Amino acid sequence: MIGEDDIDGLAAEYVLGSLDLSQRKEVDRRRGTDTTLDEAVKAWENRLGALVHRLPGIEPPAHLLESILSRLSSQGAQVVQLSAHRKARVVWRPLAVGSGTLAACVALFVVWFTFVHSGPPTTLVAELHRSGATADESAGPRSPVFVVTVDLKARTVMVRPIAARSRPGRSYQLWALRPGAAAPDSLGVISQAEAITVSLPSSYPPGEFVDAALSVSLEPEGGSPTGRPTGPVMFVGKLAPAGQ
Amino acid sequence: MPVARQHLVEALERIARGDRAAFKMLYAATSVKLYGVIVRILGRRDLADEILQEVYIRVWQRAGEYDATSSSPITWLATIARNRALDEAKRKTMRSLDDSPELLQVPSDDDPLATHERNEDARRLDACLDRLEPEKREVVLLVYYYGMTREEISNRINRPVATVKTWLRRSLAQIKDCLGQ
Repeated sequence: MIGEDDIDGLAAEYVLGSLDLSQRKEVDRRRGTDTTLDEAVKAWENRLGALVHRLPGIEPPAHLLESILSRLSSQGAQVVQLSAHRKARVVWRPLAVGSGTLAACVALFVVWFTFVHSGPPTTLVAELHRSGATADESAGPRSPVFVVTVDLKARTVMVRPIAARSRPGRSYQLWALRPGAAAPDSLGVISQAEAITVSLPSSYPPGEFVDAALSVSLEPEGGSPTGRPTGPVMFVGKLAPAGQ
Repeated sequence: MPVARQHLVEALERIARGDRAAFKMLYAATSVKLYGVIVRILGRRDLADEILQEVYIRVWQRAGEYDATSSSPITWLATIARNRALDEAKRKTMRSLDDSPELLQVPSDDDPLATHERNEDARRLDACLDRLEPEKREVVLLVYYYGMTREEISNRINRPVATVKTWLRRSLAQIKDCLGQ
C-alpha cells in the first residue's frame, strides 16, 4: 500500500480518515523522512479543514476542564499517563448497517445540508469584560469573564463563565438592553461556575438582539427582587453577529 | 466581540508561555467544537471524555509549535483532535454508532466558531462538494465526520473495498482540482 505512487491520494485519505490503523501508522512514520508526503498531508489538512466548521459542536461534561487543569499541574510538560478510565475494557459491537442507522445518517445529512445552505447567520456572540467600575476580578484586563452565545433560530442564550470569581451568597444576573429600549430586560441568573443555556424571552423579535448591550449585575442570591438591576454592574459586552 | 481568529492566535501564543488564563479562554472557545468532532469519530462519550482531555494537554504542551502562517487556529486544533480520535477509533476496526444513537442528532445550539469561520474557504469547499455525485459526496463526508475505513464504507454501501478506494481517490482529486490549490 505504502509503496504506491499516488502520494497525494494517500495523504488525502490519511487526512480524510479512511486508512486503517496500520496504514495510518505507516504514514506517520514515513512523514518524518518524506517531506513530499508531509507537505501533502499539511496541504490536505488545510483543504479539508473547513469541513470542521460545519460540524455542530457538542457540550463536553463540565468537569473535564478541572480535570485537564489538574493534570497540567501534576504533570507539567511531562508525558501524561492515561487515566484508569481510559484503560477500562471497551466492548465494541459489530458495525450495524441496519435501517435505523441509515435513516439517522440520512437525517443528519439533510440537516447538514440545510445548515450549509441556510441564509444569514443566526448566531450572535458577546464577550463580557469587567466594567470600568470593578477591578477586583482575577482575570486580566483583556480576558473575557463570560462568553454569551445567542442562537436566534433556537431562541437560546448560552452563557459560559471563563474567569468569573465566585460570590457566595450573591448571584450574577444577565441583562440585555436592546437598541432604543428604555430599560434592560433580564435574561436570568447565570452560573458562576458552569455553562448554562436559557431561553430567549418569547416577546423579543430576534432582530432586536443585534447590537444589544449586555451587562451582568451583582444581585442578592436568586436575582434582583425588582426586575431591574439593583447591584453594581460587574461585566459588560455587546452582541454582534458571529464572524463579523 | 466575537471570538475572532486573531484572538485564538494570541491565546495560543500566551499558552506557549504557560498562561493558564489563556488556556481556559481557548478551552471555552473551542472545546464544544472539538468535543463534537471527537464524539462523532469515536461514537462513545466515555472515550471521548478522555481523548478530549489528552488533546488539550497536547495543546498545552505544543502551543509553541503553532504557526499562524500555515493554518488557522481551529484547523490546527481540529487536526490534533481528529488525529488522536482516529488513531483511537481504528484500534478496533469494527464499531457501532448505534451504541450512541443520540450522537447522530444535530444539536440546535452551536458555538461561535461555526459561523465565525464560515469564511471564503468554507464556501468554496461547499461548492466543490456540491459538484460530486450525491452518493460519493456522502461517502466523503461519512469518512471525514465518522472516520469510517474503506472496509466499513464497503459494508455500508455494499460495494467492493477497491471500488471505495477508487471513489475516494477520485472524489478527493476532484475536490483538489475544483479548489485549484
